[in-house]
Amino acid sequence: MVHYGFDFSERYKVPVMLRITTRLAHSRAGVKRRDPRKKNDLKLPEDLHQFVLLPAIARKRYHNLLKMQDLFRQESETSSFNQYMDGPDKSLGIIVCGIAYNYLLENYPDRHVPYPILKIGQYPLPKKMIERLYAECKEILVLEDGYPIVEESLKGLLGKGLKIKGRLDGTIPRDGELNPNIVAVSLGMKNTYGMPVPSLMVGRPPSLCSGCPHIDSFKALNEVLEGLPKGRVFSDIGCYTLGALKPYEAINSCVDMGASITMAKGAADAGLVPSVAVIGDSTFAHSGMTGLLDAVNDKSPITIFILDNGTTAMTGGQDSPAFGKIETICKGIGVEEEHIHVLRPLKKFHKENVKIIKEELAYPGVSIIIPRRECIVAIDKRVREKFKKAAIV
Amino acid sequence: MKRDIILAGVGGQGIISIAAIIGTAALEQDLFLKQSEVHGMCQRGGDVQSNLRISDKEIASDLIPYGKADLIISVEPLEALRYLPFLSPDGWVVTSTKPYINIPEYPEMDKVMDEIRKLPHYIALDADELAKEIGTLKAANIVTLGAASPFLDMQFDKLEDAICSIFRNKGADVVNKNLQALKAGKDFTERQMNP
Ligand SMILES: Cc1ncc(C[n+]2csc(CCOP(=O)(O)OP(=O)(O)O)c2C)c(N)n1
Repeated sequence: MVHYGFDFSERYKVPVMLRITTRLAHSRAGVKRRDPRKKNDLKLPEDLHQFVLLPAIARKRYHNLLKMQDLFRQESETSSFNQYMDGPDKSLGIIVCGIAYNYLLENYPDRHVPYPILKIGQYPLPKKMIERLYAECKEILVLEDGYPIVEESLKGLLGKGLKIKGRLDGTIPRDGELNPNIVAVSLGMKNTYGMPVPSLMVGRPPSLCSGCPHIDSFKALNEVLEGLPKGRVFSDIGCYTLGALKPYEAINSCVDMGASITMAKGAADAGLVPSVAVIGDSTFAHSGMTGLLDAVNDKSPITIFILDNGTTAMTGGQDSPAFGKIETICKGIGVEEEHIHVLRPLKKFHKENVKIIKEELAYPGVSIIIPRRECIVAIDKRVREKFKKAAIV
Repeated sequence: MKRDIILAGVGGQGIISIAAIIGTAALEQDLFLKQSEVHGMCQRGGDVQSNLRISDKEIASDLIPYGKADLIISVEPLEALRYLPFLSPDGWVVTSTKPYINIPEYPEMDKVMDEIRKLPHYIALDADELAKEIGTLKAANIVTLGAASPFLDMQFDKLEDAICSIFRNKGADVVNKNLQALKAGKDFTERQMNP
């Protein structure tokens, strides 16, 4: 599909998006590899205005894109990713997308589905194929993972009349991931069950590693904020997001990368003082800096924790782009030097850390707290690699 | 031939290696394979689960339906019980009995073991203990895999080959320890089955 997508993109000079829903992004299988395609020669754009989206040019580009829709529709009708598979039992016609097709087949061990099936993998929707299914079958069932995108667009494509079953009429749960059992039930088949989970079962949510520096940071922050109404700590995505869960319950948001700082600033500007941001070193480098500049310019009263564990822990320990540069970046953006503090997040420095945080929370401007201690998983990896190298030498 | 396997454990306990070894062995034998990580495999300390399906015919679903798994391989006893709704009535549970206690409300160990002993077909072994005897606690996951090996419908030497190729760049000692671990697990199950 990716090969095809690249070729399509080259042919029509349009971006092509590969959409993978839930399970597909977490599955692997044995695959046969084909030879990699030769890289295209580097060339400069023929149309030098192509990416100059001034209103006059953008209007023209949009007009051209609309003109191409008919071609895209024709491509959809003949694409090998859109297949009409006829079946003898016309009481039902099934429109099925992506991984849902695997779940459908799972319910037919001989792989023969009695109903006509329209398998859709390329958009825009193949209107003619859909109309054929609609004309030949008594009811339509739509099986798609994630949002009911195809199901909703059918409303615009088809006249009223046939019943369309899917997520919108409750045949399939409106939310949640599909699986072979849900598909079986939607086809009126018998569900299968194993044994019940014993009543002693308890949940086991993910947690910070024992020895993780974030733990000490959260303990200090919690102590400082004790007694204040909760809900003022804006955070971000990373291992530290686990600080939202028990036993710490130290942070109150995780929206998109960098939003800890901008949300804390917004809250402070609206009058919430103290207002705190907690962001990882890597996330800070990715998209925390622009928000920081805004906060500095407005002298917003916020305290920003940049949790520096020296790595991008959550995604597997890649280098952190701001490594060794965090203080310089903050200074460069305009944070006052005396309000930038590097702490050692360790039990033995807890009291001292609490004192510094308390003082900075009281400061009516931007303060930066940098708890700095290497991620323990990163240390482990580093040490193992050192030994491996030593063993080779 | 078809084996639908649920791999269970706690993040960081090495079920990724188990999946990799079975998967490599399956592909070497030209079997079809689908593996799906159902619960964040990289989330440390949380429950993790992976669906592994092997067959000599093409496999449809990436997920195992409820009540259809032939085997639950768990490196932790409580986690073995979590996925019982997937187990088929003839299915086996192979689990290490060594609890991983990182939650305050972990149930009493006796009660967990009672539940395991209620299962119609199970192998329960202290994989940590056996791994310690070999000299590396880290291989406890491979001991558990070894204990499950008689139920995989796969030649044992294919699993050994997979271990050799997966651990090769960690040195001969690591390979040997893991081969011993695999064998120790297999021997345990064979003693249970033919006392
Ligand atoms: C826009 C975007 N890109 C990538 C990711 C994947 N991602 C999850 S957490 C993370 C960074 C974690 O690093 P850091 O902020 O240093 O925190 P740590 O995990 O080290 O505590 C990334 C890149 C994402 N969530 N959003």
